[in-house]
Amino acid sequence: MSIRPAGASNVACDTAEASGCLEGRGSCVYKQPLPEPPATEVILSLENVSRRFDGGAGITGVDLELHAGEILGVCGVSGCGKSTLLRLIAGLESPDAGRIHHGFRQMGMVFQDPGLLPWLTARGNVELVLPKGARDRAAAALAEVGLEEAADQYPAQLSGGMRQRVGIARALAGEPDLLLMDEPFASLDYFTSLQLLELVGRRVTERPVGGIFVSHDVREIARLCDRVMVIGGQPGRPVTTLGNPLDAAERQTRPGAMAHFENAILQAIETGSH
Amino acid sequence: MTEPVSTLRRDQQTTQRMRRIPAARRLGGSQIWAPITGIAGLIVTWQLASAWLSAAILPPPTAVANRLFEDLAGTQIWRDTGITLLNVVGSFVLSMIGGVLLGLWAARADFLDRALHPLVVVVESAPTIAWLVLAILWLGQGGGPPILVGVSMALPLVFIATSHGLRQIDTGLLDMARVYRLSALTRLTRILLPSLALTLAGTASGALSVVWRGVIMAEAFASSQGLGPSLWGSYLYGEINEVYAIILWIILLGLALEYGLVHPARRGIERRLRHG
Repeated sequence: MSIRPAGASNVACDTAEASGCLEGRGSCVYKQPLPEPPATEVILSLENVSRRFDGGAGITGVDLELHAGEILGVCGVSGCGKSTLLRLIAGLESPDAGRIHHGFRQMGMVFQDPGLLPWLTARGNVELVLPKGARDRAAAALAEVGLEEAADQYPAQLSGGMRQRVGIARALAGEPDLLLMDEPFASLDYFTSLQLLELVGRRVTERPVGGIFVSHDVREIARLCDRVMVIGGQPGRPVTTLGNPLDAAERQTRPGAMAHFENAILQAIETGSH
Repeated sequence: MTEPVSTLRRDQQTTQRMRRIPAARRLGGSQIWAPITGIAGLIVTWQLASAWLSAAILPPPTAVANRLFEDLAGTQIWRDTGITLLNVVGSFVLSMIGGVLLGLWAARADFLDRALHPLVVVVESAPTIAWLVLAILWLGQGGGPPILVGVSMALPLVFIATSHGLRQIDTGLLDMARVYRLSALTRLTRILLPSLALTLAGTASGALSVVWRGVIMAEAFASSQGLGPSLWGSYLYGEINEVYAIILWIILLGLALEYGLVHPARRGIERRLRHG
């Protein structure tokens, strides 16, 4: 896929002026078309979903469709309803209006705080969410995130990055076809978050897992997501959806080439917050 | 200006010296000697006071100790102790199970929680003697009233601790349980009960203490067997040395239960739950 913004019928955003344009100009209009959705089944769709809280917070008017093998990023300023959207999809909140259609079989979720039980080992935490006949998958999942030697350690004996890896192993061990991620790397240092981002990206690419990735970090979003929904206002509503100009392989090899996309996301967030 | 600096240096030197002393010696010394000093002070005060007062009011500790040794050489005190311990353990176990189940049930709905709280406060604030009279009225004389009185005193404590503990549970863990659709049994055994264990371990100590007091008092008035009737009977027959010997025995049993059973259990739970 070309990284050059091109005029197309499927225009993602024609208002976000981005500086640092790859064409070498000081600013340009971001006209990257939304990527074609994968030719896979729709695993999640939302129709005009709203959930409001006292004080005006919440989210409203969300329509989206997610295909297997596709990762949608959700970003916006704090309090715009990103986490509420994820909680609605996860079934932790009920919508006030609209409909959510679940087409997936198994869901996994990575929380900002990994939510590990302190009285269970890393292996115990992963096994907890697996059916009785599939407990042996825990060891494989921990090995996949590089924690085979720490499998019998308790969360308090692990670093923050290792605990988050256990959370990711737990989410992936159940072989989900929908993976929800709520700012999973927010409390981690840059290099650890980069490592985990690559791990999640690789796993999602290897298997056709659909993912929704909520983050306030546009670099993380640009590295992992095929599309980005920007939410703004209060209650939050979708402002725009931007397509990633790079495919998954290019994102890993040419991270510097995403500056234009990152700027477009930032511009859209700023526009949406006013 | 020089004084704060020298004070600081002195503090640093003291800190360095402290660091060289093993932690076990710094803490262990006061931990061992402080209670021994307190108990020794009590015995000396008792001995001095008994010299001033009539033996019919306060016999000397040596006389009480001798009487207790005589009792322990016989069989009656062991039979009474067995009956009282059964009543205490029965009341304690019923209170813990009942309080936790009631707390879990109330947590299912705000309405239940709000409805049960005033009832529990009523039970808790009613004087022990009122419960004793009601227990004798409902159950008659025998082993029932001591258990009912013990439960009436301890169950509200356990219920309130459970209710409070459930509100303190990390909501992230509950969210995780819902996302992964963990069964009700798994939630109860893997999340709720371990989360409550620390709170309940602390409450168990208080519950055991009130059960112990309530059961012995209820036995004295409602039963013919156990340490309560022995104590009350000794008082009625004017056997003051026996009265003090039984009180001393009750206190020693209470300490043994607390430090031999409840305390190690609490430490074990803390170690298990706060791994690493």
